[in-house]
Amino acid sequence: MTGDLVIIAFRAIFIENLALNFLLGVCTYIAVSQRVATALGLGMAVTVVQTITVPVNNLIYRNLLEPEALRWAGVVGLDLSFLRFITFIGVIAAGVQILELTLDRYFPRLQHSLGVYLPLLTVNCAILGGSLFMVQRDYSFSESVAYGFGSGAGWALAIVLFATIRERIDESEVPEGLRGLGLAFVVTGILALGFAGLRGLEF
Amino acid sequence: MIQRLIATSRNTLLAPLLDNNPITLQVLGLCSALAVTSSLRPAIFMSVAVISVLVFANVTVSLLRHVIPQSIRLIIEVTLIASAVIVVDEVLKAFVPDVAAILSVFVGLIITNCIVLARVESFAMHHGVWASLLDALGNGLGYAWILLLVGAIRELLGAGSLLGQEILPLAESGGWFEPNQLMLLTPSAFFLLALLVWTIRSLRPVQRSQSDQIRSDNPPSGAAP
Amino acid sequence: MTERESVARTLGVAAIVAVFCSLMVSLAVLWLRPIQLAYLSIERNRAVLEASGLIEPATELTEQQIVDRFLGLDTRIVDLDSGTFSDAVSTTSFDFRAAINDPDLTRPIQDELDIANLGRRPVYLPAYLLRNGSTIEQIVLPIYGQGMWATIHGFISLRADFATVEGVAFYEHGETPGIGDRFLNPEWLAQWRGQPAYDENERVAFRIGADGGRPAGIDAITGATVTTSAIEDLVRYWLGDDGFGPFLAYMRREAPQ
Repeated sequence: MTGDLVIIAFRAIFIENLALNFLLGVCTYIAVSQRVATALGLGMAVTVVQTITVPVNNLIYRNLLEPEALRWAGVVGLDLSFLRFITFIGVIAAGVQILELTLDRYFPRLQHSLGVYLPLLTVNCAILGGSLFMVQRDYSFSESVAYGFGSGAGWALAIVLFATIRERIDESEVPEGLRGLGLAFVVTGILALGFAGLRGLEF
Repeated sequence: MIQRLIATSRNTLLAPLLDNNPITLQVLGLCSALAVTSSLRPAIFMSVAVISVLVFANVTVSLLRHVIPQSIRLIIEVTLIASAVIVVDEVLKAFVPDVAAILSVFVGLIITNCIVLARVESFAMHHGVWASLLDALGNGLGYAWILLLVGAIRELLGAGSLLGQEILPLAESGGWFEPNQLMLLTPSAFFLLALLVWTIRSLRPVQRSQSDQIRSDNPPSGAAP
Repeated sequence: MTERESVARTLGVAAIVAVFCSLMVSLAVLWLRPIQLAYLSIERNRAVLEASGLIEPATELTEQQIVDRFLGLDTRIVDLDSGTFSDAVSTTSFDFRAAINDPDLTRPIQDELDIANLGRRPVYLPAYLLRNGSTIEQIVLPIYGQGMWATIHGFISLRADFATVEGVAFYEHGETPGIGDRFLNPEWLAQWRGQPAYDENERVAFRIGADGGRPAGIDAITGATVTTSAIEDLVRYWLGDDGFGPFLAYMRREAPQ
């Protein structure tokens, strides 16, 4: 059982990497990867938010939204799954807000460096995407904890790797038009290619 | 007077197509641009979906802009966007279920497509309905043509076809074209976008300095409100 | 500014937007849900017909034509627990979605048997009999299991010996476009025809791809290893002891009409 959970987390980090395999959260990924330190902070924030929101959304979906979920309340034949988009985004927005307040209260230094980026997490497709994949793949609660952590950590790994490379290539000589955004795409493409190679792994 | 109105309108509509393109200059809404472009058909429907949501959100927010209290501004905007996305998702599932299956979670992710929230926040909150409508169309089309171009190239080189119709005769059925399967995988989307950005910036050198400014000044505003 | 930010006003605007959005969403769902369900049931019927070879894949047919041909089949309900036909459930009111999801109508599968990653297995499933007079020519059975990303749904058709594959069709999947979804290629699906489902000792013999010295009856799909093995696993599960195995053994023994 625990083995399965480790496999789910491992797959989410390396094989089904949200940023490099599903291209989720790429806007933030490109915009906030100038420095390794910020990338690391943002990556940690994503991991924390993801580890919280995916299981919470799992509980809500299982007990309220999925077809026949309201059976315990005596309601039969009801399918509210179409409400998942709006519910999930609400949970995510609230989760981010709570994280922001907590950081402000207990880790003011981290809050200072992450402050600007935290609101971004609400509109980071990696976060909403994690919850939607959880539904699509029919994860149980414990699996969703593993998946939430794994997918967040995978995203963090991708952005830190990217920022590390980006810090070095900033000084290199590349054609004018390719500088900045263009080169960022090329680097991400090569990283994604590397991660695509891990797809052959099977369990 | 009228001429000036037309000129502004045209500018609102056309500027986002190239000079201020949401994807290649503002770096917004990339996720879906890359993920649904492995062939042309899903890219077309994704474009239509994003344009519909964008138009709906921009128009309603513009209508409500004098009424919405600041404190709950964001949540109202997100609620409107999310509702529009649910409707679009249900429509796709009902009328083009095969495409809905391919797009899967990416329709839902329009909610977090930064283009939508960025236009609503930075434009519709301060402009009239007509201008907001044009702005939505302009940005939607600016997003769409890149999606369609990338989708067309990937399908043509990756499968030798367009919209499922064989264009390049495949080697496995007696033709000469050996499909490049890399094109169907995600990394190719990055490479194509890089080439596209390179081309645009070589043709319009002014975009280089603009985008550098965006990046160094305030990265968050480049990606979201 | 102060008036705009008053509590009453904030609540008022929030309420109006909430009511407006919920109305819009509910109406859309009420209007569209029946269309979606109708489409799904047509696709499912179409897949049954394709699996049995009654229609070629990708033939243009109207909904009415599909329904008409589908009604030519004899639909029966199989009780997987007892491995026989069951009359406990009516075929007309049978709801496939409910049958595979409803906790009351499904049983948990033991971990080591659950090769298709289903978690739970329904008790009742439909079987479609293609008859010629009183003899059964083919039997079409539903199969499904976890693919690379989402559940793959399809039908498999067996010949009158209940041990040889006649055809297969899939109607719902979430495999990677252009790579994993090549399992829908008609030429690949055509390889299934005549493949053994069981060997002479009544063990499941269905395989995809070559293995050791044994040549491939059905080629593995290049570049889509996960999808290929997912399909092999789900077919083997449904042909196996936990799936339709006992029922098909009963059919081979008794061949009831």
